Amino acid sequence: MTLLEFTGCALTAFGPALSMFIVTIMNDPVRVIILIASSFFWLLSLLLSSIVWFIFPSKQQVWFGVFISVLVQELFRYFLYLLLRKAERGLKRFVAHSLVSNNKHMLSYVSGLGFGVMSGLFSLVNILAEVGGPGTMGLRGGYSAFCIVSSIFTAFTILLHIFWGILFFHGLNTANKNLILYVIVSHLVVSEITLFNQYYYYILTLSIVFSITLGTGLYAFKTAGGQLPIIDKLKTENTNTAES
Amino acid sequence: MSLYFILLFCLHYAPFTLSNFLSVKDQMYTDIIASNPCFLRLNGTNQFGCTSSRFGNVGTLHLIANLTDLDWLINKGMANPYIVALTPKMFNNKVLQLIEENFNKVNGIMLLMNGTNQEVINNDNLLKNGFSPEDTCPNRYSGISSCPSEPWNPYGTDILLKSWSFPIFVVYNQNAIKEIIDCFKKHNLPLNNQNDHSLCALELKSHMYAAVDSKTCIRRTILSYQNIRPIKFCDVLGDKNVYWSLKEFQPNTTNHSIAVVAARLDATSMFQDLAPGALSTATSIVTLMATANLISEMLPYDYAKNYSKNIMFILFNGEAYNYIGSSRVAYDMYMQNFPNDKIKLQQNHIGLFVELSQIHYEKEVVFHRLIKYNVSENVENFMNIFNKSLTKDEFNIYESKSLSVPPASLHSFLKKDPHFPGVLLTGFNNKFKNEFYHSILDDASNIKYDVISQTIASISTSLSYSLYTFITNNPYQGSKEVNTSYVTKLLDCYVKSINCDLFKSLTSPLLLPDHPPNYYISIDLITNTLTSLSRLLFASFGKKITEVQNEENCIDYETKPGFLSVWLNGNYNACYLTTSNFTDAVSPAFIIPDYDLSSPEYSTWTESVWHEVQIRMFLRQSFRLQIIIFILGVAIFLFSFIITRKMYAQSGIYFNNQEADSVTSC
Repeated sequence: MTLLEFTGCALTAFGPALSMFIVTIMNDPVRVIILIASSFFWLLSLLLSSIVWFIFPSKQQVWFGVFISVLVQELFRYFLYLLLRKAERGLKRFVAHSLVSNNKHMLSYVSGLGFGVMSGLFSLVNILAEVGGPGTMGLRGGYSAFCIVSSIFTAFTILLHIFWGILFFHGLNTANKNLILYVIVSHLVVSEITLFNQYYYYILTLSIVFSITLGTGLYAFKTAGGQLPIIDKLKTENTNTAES
Repeated sequence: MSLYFILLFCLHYAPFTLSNFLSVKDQMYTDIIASNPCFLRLNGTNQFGCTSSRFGNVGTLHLIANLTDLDWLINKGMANPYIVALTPKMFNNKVLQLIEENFNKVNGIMLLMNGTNQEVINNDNLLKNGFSPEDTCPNRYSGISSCPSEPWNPYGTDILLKSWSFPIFVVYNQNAIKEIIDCFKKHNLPLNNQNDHSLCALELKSHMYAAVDSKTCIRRTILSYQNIRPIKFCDVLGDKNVYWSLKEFQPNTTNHSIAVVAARLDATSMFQDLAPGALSTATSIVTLMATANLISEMLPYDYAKNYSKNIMFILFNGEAYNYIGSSRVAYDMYMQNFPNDKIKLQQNHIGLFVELSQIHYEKEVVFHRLIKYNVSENVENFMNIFNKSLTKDEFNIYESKSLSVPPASLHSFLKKDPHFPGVLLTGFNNKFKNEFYHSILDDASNIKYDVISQTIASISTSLSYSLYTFITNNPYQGSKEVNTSYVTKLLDCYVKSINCDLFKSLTSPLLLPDHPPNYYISIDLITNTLTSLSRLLFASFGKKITEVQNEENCIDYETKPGFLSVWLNGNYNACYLTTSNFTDAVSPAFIIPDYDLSSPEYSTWTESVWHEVQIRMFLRQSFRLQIIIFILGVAIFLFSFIITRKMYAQSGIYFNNQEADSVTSC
């Protein structure tokens, strides 16, 4: 019976990431390597933030732990950038036959996905482990939709990590401080806002996180040089009508 | 610096605190405190009791207080499977059979003891209906006489002697019961459309390793010895018999020179650690102990050794399970090995065998014996003297006219010799007065605690006088009597709590558990606390060895043959010379080589091994929401897959900068 709930939640949280992996990454070994490397960097950031948490005297303040953790994550995103830059020449030699360099944003996309998947796994795995059991949330706090709400949050976080990866690397490449600042601030806001879930404001937090994801996504899309053909078509039609 | 202060301020006044964070698991599950499952026991041919599946039985909680509730569950309940919580009134054979027939609907049972035992008995009118899980004729197949048409235990429901395919737990913890009832009322009511919302559910885990019968499980255990990690599936039931004699036994005892006073030391119930056995067992033990104490004062050793006759007091263990202890003693006597291979007591050495059973607070004593064969002069004399000394106290004494003998250790000896001079001294005539025979309700409240000590004191006194006459052939002229306050002290120990004054005076500074004694025999590897304490109590009737001052010397002390030295702690704090000792109470079936375990001759009971016992309460997700979540998950996955694929395949349309330049920088 609960296998249904488990499958539903797992697919909601990791479905988008999984399909991206299957479609865009699986076929290229270099991308897989970069994905794993970035996941590893996220794990390192987790290690460092837990050390800080461990030494930190007042463990009652969760929001501060989250604050530190976000900063550490972004720091390691920067380290990853430095590493990839160092490895650039070596990678280029590889890349002659690879698809990595087709797009300069491909690398930031892959490393962002690695970051996202690993953080998503860590935030959801203990919930998924319990969802398989006979029980569900609601007896001593929580609500029956807890699992699916957490899964949707996780899905948003993974997507956000991809977008943040693209924006952050682009900001570093173009020395655009505002872009980097936006990534850090929005990451902080999204992480801290989830703390309101304990007061059952999950519809509110969910809609805020959703709008941030949508906004960041569109901006990242644009940054990566994306364009929607429909809009272009409309634009050209407009100019055509204006000209004629 | 100012930043530091801001941080400090925030840290101390921020509203988010960790105190109300529970882990996901803790938010889902509540452990119900109930460590008393019904467990599995086996004999040579069958299994009895309950077991859960290996990972526990899960079901929607349903409270059943009357037959209407049960009817609804069986005919209209939709949220299968269920775990039912029964009131004691509903815990009877009829309801359990009905549940067993609907095993796909019901996955487990909890017995809720809402209130104290006395409240439960009053609320559910159990005094009228009875509450005994035992057979109507306990130990039906190991007696010498058949079950009479009007059975001994009319309240017996036979629940104990059936194999149930679901786990059964008893819950005593009042907070847990409240939690269970609240959870049911909050989440499972109203009863219509139960599948639309999350339901309160329970998981009962009490998986038993053993199955089929004793033969199979012992064979499996022996087979597993070849493995690197052997597994034990079951343990043989067994413990020790305890005896004490007025003076030491000697080899070459003459025939009919020994009087034996016996009682049983065990009771049972359906649930682990709960066998209070007050009226089933404890009153008889107390009578026996009070008698032994008085006899030891009436006939001190130096006086008693002038007579050739002797008295033995013995407590048989495991009698609830086809007379384990007494059948072993009878077997050992037959094999010339009782109490050891030097003394070789035999059944024809016994001139009088008096067994005490279910001594009742009402002033009524009934003798039972196998009238057909029993023409022993000793028994007649004993009954007469006993009669005479007790009628003074307004007792109603008579002999049962029944042709069969009620369940008693006496059967083991009668089986070897139908002319055995044995008599059973009970508080009931043709049916038990105990409505709660072998049940969890047979506790202190079942014996009219303040009345019974007077009754027991009178019976013990008369018994002692009769035994005095057996030894000396003269009536007792002294004025010694059993003290009522001593009987009360004994009752405190054997009914209320092991941590009582009398036992503490024998054992302190050793700490004794503060709970009512558990009379279940348990497995033969463990000697029960009560068995050891009873032996120490017997030892205290002995003689002090003044020249020994400490425990080590006491152990090494060379005694006369037939005696043992025992160090008593507590108030005594001295070395005592005693004739008391243990003998094995393990069924001969496990001693005789190549014994056929399916034969009914000897007890073949074993108890299953189990590992973990747990009850968890939680909410079960409604089926509707489960389906919605599943469909949502699959839809999101498919949708994102199609989008990604389309965009990637046509990335030329969506992305305009396809130049293959540097990896990271522009």
